[in-house]
Amino acid sequence: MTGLNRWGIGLLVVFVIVAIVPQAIAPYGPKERSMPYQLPSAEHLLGTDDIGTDILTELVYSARISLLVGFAAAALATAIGLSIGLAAGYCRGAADEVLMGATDVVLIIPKIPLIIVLAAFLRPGVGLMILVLGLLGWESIARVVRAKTLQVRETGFVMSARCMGFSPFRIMGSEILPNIMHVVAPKFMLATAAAMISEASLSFLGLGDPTMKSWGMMISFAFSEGGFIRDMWWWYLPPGICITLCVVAIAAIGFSFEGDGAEVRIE
Amino acid sequence: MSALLEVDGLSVTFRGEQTVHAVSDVSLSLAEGEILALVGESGCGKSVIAHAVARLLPPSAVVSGSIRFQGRDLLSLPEREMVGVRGNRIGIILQNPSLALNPLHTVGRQVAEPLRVHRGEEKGRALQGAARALSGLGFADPERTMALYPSMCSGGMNQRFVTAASTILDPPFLIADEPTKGLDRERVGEIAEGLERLARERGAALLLITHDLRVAGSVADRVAVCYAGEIVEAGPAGSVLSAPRHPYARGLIGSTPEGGFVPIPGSSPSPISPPPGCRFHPRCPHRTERCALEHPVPVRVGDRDVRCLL
Amino acid sequence: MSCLLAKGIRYAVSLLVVVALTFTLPRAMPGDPVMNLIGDDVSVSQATLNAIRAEIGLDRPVTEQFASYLWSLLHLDLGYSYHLNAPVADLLFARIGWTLLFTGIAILGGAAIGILAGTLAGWRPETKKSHTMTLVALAVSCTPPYFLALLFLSMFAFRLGLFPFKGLYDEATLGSIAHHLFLPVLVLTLFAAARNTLIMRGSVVQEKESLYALYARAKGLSDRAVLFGHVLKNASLPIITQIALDFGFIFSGALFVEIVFSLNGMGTLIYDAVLGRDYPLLQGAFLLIAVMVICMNMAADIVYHLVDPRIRRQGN
Repeated sequence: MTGLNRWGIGLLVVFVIVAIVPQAIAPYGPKERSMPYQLPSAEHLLGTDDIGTDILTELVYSARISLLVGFAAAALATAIGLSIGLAAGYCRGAADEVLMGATDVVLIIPKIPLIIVLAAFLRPGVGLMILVLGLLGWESIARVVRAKTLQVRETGFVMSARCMGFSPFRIMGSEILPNIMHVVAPKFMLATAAAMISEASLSFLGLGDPTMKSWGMMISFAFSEGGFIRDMWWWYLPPGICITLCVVAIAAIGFSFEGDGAEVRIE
Repeated sequence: MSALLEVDGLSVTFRGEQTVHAVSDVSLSLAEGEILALVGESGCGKSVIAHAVARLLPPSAVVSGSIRFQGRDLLSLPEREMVGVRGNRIGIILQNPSLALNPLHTVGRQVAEPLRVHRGEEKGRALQGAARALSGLGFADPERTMALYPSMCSGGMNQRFVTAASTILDPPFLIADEPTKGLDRERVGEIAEGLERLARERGAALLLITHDLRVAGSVADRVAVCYAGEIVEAGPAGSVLSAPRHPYARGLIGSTPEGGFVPIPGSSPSPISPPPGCRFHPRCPHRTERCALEHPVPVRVGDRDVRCLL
Repeated sequence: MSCLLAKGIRYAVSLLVVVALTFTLPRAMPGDPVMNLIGDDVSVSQATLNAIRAEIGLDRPVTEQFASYLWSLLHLDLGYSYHLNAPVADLLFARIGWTLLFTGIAILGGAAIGILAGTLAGWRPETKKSHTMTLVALAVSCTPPYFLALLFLSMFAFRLGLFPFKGLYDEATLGSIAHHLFLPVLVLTLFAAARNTLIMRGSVVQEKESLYALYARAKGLSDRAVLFGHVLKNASLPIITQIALDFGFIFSGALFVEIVFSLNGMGTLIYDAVLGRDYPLLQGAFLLIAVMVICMNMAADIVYHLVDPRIRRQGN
């Protein structure tokens, strides 16, 4: 589905640009206030929220938080997954059994309830969000990396590297790693998609960072500050649509890396 | 004996990023009860010919020419009629029988399937028919065998199941696609003999696709040699295999252990861009300038047809 | 048998890890462990605090604490919520019924729709119909479930006034309950269906290229007969495992949907617990959910074992 791929990349590029230079796009500065609960008008295209901030401005500035959490959490998860998968696939034997057993165990533990408990204990914040989502999102990456490592391990150039006595780390890093990147890349994108959805869900519960609003936090505030009851759809719909579009774009890119939907899964 | 199958000018190309010319201008015929062996190296297109006859090629295949079976042109037959021909009048034994069987269905169900589909028999009768077929193929306890799943059986057993299912309706025409591939010598002989016996007993014609020249020699009445999607020589088995006329056929016989183990230099041409003129000329020891320019057509020489300019 | 044993060990270890987690968390988190154990924002007298401190026995060795924790778990004592002044177990079990109801319906309905839609989309993947279906399924599965719920609520309940937007029922009649539950169940089912559709589609695309599908055609089966007689059954296998794996995900989604629709299930219970930092309740909920998910995974393993003869052979 290459058509989809092009749309996906285009869309994502738009979002990334918005995230990097929000000042260029947002009509107002992030701290400017005016009358609260205003309806959409020429001055405020999406109206204002409960404390008078222009919603469109908020929307634009929230992009960077949502994307940041998504990509950073996925990066962390990928780093962990790579390490574990490489180690398991390369060393095999007992290490493999133990690591894969641990992966299976982590796989079963329900993520969202655990994150809720953790986030309730600790102060909410972007850093915490990234850490927790990353620490809990690596299993499928580890599996895939391990499977590929087992394959690549038996190829000619890896065998010769081992014969030459290179250290395992060197082999894993320079021989095996480049050859498994093509399976890691789509998994990274899918992990980003999953992390963004999880972040949005947790923010909705109020476990996000109130000082650094993401799209999910916007919806949460809309829900709890009366935006819903007053039927202010311009407040909660745009962030939700943004989340969906962004996640679809990222997921589409992820699938196109893998070839046409053989195993399609967003955790 | 009238011709059961007449293939005339069959060409198959596959659409895709690049056009693959799998089969070009192939003509062959099969009489009732005759065994024709289609031999050639891997990738020469012989399996494609077999699949084309049964119209089992994927949608990306473009087929032209004519395939007349029992007087009807199969290529212009609507699919719902073709469905009645496959399995019923044309029995196909596919390569790799262990994968050709559905892992989630019992053996019995799969062998009985043609009976249920084509004759509308209900389950009990069909299973009895399957049991008969299996005992005919040497299974001592067909009831127990039919309750097994393909994953529980050896490759050889699965091969016999597929043979049973493909012959259960007594089709007058059988196609066997590389039935001896990957087996060791005694098994090869067994299977080949078994297949021949089956065909002769029922008076069925058999199109045998194989790369094993020995099998072709021992079983077939006639032989057609396939190279780069074309038939380069076709004639009675005995004479073609002992005294081949086409340079490639000679090279092929010469490359077998009995023939001298002399390999043919070079490698087979790519099906995307076949060489101009005669397709074998880059590797032919007798080539002339003409061979690179003119494309040879089959010419009757003695008891066979040869596609060569010499 | 040995692989069954290995799996059994794995599940037992998972259970142990979960229990250990819920035991360690309040004691490992920053702050006074006692406050962590009873929850923030709780107005409790100093005397009660001391009594609790003694009862929980934070000064005793860890193994003893763990043992007594396990003991109380076996008695289904999940702690006490000082917020709501009731044992956690009672609170959870009272509310869990509704949530399980939505989740169950959504999972079954989602699987059925998913198998159907996935088959249609996967059988002829080049058609426009298939592309649109796949796109829709993709979009739905990328939407946070609570947002989908918000959309439906705002559209069908608020604007069109077709459905009530709060509560489980007005009167305790079946009709009223169905009316109230319709939207939430619909949302959750659509979400589950979207995921299943994508998986089924991929599975069908793969299976229809298999040799056994070709051989079935060679035996004279029509396209439809090959699809329904062979490909469908084989392609549905991954859905079975998916249902179990999804249980945790769909259940979590159910919590959010409940919150949006203000339904009295576990979702709202947990939401309030989060707002009020009622840690014992949150931990109890996590433990309960984790145990359910582990059980569902075990069930899926057993079902798969029964259905696929290849696995049966390996297991023996």
